[in-house]
This record gives sequence, structure tokens and C-alpha cells, in this order.
Amino acid sequence: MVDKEIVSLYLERKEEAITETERKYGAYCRQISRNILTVKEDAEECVNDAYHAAWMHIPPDEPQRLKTYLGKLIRNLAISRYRKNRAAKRYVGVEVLLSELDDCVPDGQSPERAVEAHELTQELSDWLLSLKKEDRILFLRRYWYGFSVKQLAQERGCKPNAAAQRLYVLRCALRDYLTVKGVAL
Amino acid sequence: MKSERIYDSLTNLDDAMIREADTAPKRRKRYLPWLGAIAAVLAVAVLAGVLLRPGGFVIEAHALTLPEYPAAAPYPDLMDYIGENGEISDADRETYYEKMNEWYSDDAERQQYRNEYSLQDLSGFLSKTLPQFLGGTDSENRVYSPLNVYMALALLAETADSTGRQQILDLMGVSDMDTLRTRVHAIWNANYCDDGVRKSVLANSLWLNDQVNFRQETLDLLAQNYYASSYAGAMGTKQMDDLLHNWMNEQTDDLLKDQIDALELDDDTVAALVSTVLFTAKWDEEFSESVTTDGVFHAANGDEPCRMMHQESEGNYYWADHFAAVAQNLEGGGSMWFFLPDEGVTPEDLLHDPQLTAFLLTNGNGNGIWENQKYLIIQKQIAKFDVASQIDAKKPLQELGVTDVFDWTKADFSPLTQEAQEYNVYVSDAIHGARVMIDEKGCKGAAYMIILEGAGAAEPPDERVDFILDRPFIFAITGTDGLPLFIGIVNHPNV
Repeated sequence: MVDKEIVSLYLERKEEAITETERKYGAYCRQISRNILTVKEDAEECVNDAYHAAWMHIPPDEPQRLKTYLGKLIRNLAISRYRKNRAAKRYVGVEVLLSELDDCVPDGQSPERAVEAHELTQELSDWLLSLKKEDRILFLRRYWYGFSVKQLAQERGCKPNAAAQRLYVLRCALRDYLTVKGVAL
Repeated sequence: MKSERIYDSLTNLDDAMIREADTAPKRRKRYLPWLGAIAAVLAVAVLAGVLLRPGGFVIEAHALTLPEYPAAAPYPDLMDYIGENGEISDADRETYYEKMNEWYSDDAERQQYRNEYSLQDLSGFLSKTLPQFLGGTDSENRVYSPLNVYMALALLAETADSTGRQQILDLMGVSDMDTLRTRVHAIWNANYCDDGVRKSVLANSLWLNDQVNFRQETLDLLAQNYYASSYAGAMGTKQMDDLLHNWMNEQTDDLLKDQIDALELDDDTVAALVSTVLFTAKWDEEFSESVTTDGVFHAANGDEPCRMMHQESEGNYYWADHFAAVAQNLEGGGSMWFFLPDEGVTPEDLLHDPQLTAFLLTNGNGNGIWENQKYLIIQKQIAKFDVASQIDAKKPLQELGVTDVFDWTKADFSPLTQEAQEYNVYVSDAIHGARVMIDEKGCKGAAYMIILEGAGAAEPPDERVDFILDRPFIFAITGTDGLPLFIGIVNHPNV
């Protein structure tokens, strides 16, 4: 079933919408959720929460790309779950991602300006667009989809160390970019 | 935690960027350094306007004005800094950052220029010139560079005055000279790039008869706003022709050598205005040479053999009332668009289709303007081609209202020389030559340099479409700002 038909099911409030979403994008959602949360049961709950959120938000939302719409829901729900439970539970996936992303935070030594969330997204987008496609995909597969460095190394046909090193260089490049742009986090 | 802000902001990135990364990239072998610079798309265009008068005689040319070109720091390749062990030393990392920052700085400047004009500013010019420059082809190939002609007309407007200048401004959709200078300067800078990843080199020059006195302030203005070099020498001599040919061939990488070497400046020539564009880029996703097959191209006057490239990829498929369109992205930004007319519709018919111009000016995006698009698996079959044409631009320009500069009784080139009236300077010829060629990746034997391997967690779309360019079609190469750099009709792939 194409996305438009699935979205129509949501709009018509037909429960098949969830079944069809699971059929088409279940594996995709589960992959992202597991990458980020790593605790299997919580990852599964996060996927169900995402379906519920989609049911609640379509309408009024009418996503053109259901796949990325769901991916964004999963990422938001996963970080919320981490924030809520971090005192009691270890979500290794997101913890490692956040700790790596710490490298991208400017050190505050240069003049900075406060930016709204959408402005920061725009800065990140501009920086990503300036990268070679290969680097952009690597960065997003790690920090958007949460794939492990080991898997990314396999995909690229290189050693994990080389992939990790490249990611490190990219993180530092992002930090430098945000510093040059005077972005305060 | 501050890194959570980055995490949150990444979530809301544009869908297209997220989709791009949702499957594992095809694994590639590293390129040998010398292969990195070879092109998949090569395009070049030239327009020369030649002004006449009775002339004199001298031996060689000398530069009167040379412009200072904008900086274009090379894009550093991270792989050049990583050792065999996958490690990068502190010193190399620092060097890499330095180079990266230099590139960011130059690229940020280019992006600033892109904000100074809108593609819609050129909509009138494009819709008027497209049928004039590409039409009437019958069954011949035709290539037109809107960017090149726009630049050349800007030079002409600076050297002309009175109604002749106004007619040019009207065609360009510009209200006055200040607006023209600002806009052309911004377009030039936004599109000029030679950073090792993208090559989009624009160049302008004036070739002046050294028996005539030219206004230095005009030459300086042309250097400052249009990066135009000015050379003076003896018209009608082989030396002057050779110098002109060498300059043009160098700027166009010898791609139009046959056409250029046939140009002659006779001793009546007062000045020649030359504008060139050279564009080189590799596909973002190369075609595999190993799957290129012999094919048949159904030309208007009969079938002919061709080499057909094949590629399956995910992307947007666009359609309009009379054509379908697909883009092949270029490394470093920009795209090549392929427009396949519906059965029974010719490329010539499409030139008059307002939907084609609208599409070219929005690149299929335009904030939802273009509704008929679908994200699909596209099975592309594209005939390799190498097409060139030489167009006498005089007639199209006259039909578009630029008449006075061609008429010696009305032309006024007093901004160029105080002796304009004395010698009745006018435009005797205007020639536009252009060539575009494509192949799988642009380098011989490179097919074995690539290992294609698909992998990933995401499901592909469940629909696919065939896009087969085996009959006459239209192409367009757009720059990083979406500006159409080259547009052409392929009636015979010629490969």
C-alpha cells in the first residue's frame, strides 16, 4: 500500500492504518528505536507509542513522507523516555550518542548568540549540506538513525577505528562550524 | 545537557536529507587521485559579439585590464589526511580543520550572493529566449546556455547606450544599470566555483582594436563588476586571432576548439566581447559502465544506434501535462534534469510549454508549487550523448527586441569609445556555441574502480517507474542555486 493510502486510512479513522503502518514500516521503526534505546522491551513500547502518536496527530497532520514522519516520532519519543527514566535505567544507545555529540558543543570561548531550535536545525542543515554526500550520510546514519560504528564500518568496507575516527573529525568540524557561526547551546 | 539540543535539532532536519541516509551507501573503492578530477558532465558555451569599423595594424595584443577573481579554497578530502592505519595525527587534523574553515568561509560568501537574487528575476528572460535559441531545430541537436547569454548581454549593455541599451535591459528584465550590475555580479559570484569538487568557471573578456581609443573607466567597470579582462592588439592579424583562440580554448578546456578556431577578427573589427562558461561535475551516483548496453534511439528521422546507460535509484519522478522529468544529482550540488516529452509531443512543442519554464525556475521544488511528483524507484535508461551547436544569435536577439545595436544608423557605443559615432560602431555578429556531453562517470575504464553493494535496514518504496530516454528529449543543467546553466535538445545522441 502506498503512503497516501495509509495516510488516508488515518484520516478516515480506520484502525487498519496501524496494521498497514506496522506492515510497511514496522522494521524501520523498530530499527531506529532499538538503535537509540537498546533495551528491547522499551524499544518495542516506543514503536507502539509512535503508532499511537501517529493516530493522534493524523489528522491534523497529513505527512507527505510517512516513513520520515514516523522516524521523527520515534526519535522524539526515545529521547523523552530517556529523559524520564535516565535515573533508573541505562539506555546505552542514546547515552553514547549524546556523549559523542558533546564533542560538537562549542567551548564558549568565542562570542555566542542564543538560537531557537529551528535556527539550530537550519545551521545543522547548512553544515550537512556543505559536506560531501559520503560524510553526510555517515553522520546521519550515526546520529539520526543511531546505527553502531561497527555496522557503519561494515557498510563502508573499512575498519571500525577508521569509521570512528572519521566521525570524530566530523564532530569536531561541526563544533568548529558552530563556533564560527557563534551558536550558543 | 547541551548535546541534547543537537540531538533534538537533528530530528527536525529536512525529510529529503533523512531519506538520503536511510539506506547504507553503496560501497566504493577509493579513487586514484588523478581520477578525481575527471568529469562526468562537461559543458561549455561561448558568445561573441563583434563590433565593426575601419581599422589599423599592430603586431601583438597586450592586457589593458585584468580582473581579480574571487577566492575558491579547495575542498579538503578527509581521506587525504587519514593514514593507512585509519588514524589521523594531531597535526594533520589541525591542517584539515584549517582547510575546511577556509572552504566554509568561501562557500558562505557564495551562499550570501545566492540570497541577492531570485530565479524568478530571470523568468521573463528564460521564457522569451528558450524558444528563440532552441527552436527551429527540426531534427538537429541544439544547446543553449542561458547563463552565458545573460552574461554576454550584460557586457553588451555596459558598452551600449541610448535605446540600444534599454532594449537589452528590457530583454534581461532589469530596470536600470545599477540593478543589472548588482544582479550580474551576484550571479557571477554565486556560480563561479573551482574548489576541486565543483567546477563552474565563468570568464569574460574584451578584445580591442589598438588603433581605437577606449574609455578606461568602462574597462575598469567591466573588470570590477563582470571580472572582464581587456586586451588590445592588431585586428586582422593571425597573432590576434591566435591570442583570442588560445584564451577561449583555455577557458573552455578545448571543448569547442573546432568552432573557436574558425572565428576570425578581421581588420574592421573594433572590439569583440567574449563570455564563456565551463562546467564540470561528476554524478552523485555514477552509472555502472558494465551494465551499459547497445540500444536504439528513435530519432525523428529514423532509428539509430546508441549506448544506453542504466541505473536504478530512488528519487522524485515529476510529471506535467506533456512531459515527465527526472533529476540526476551532481556531486557538490546542482542537478541535470531530463525531460521526456509524452508520446506524440516533440521537444520543440515543449519549448513553448509554460510548464517547462515554470519547472526550470523551481527545480521541481518551489515550496510545493510543483504538485505532480512522487517518490519512487526509478529505472533510468539514458542514451549517452555528446551534443554541440553553433547558433547565430543575431536573429533571435533581434526578434526579441534587441535591434538598435545591430543597426549602424542607431547603434550608440559611446560608453565604450569616444570614437563610436565617428566610426559608426555596431554589432555585426553574435554567435553562441555550446556543447554538453555525458557518460557514466567521465573516465575511461573507471567502471572497475567501483564496487556497488546495497545494504540497509530500511524498506524501499513499493512502486517503481521506467524512465527511458530513447527518443528526442530535453535536458537542463542547473547550478547549486538552481539557475539553468545549460539547456539542450538531443535529437541524435552522437555517441
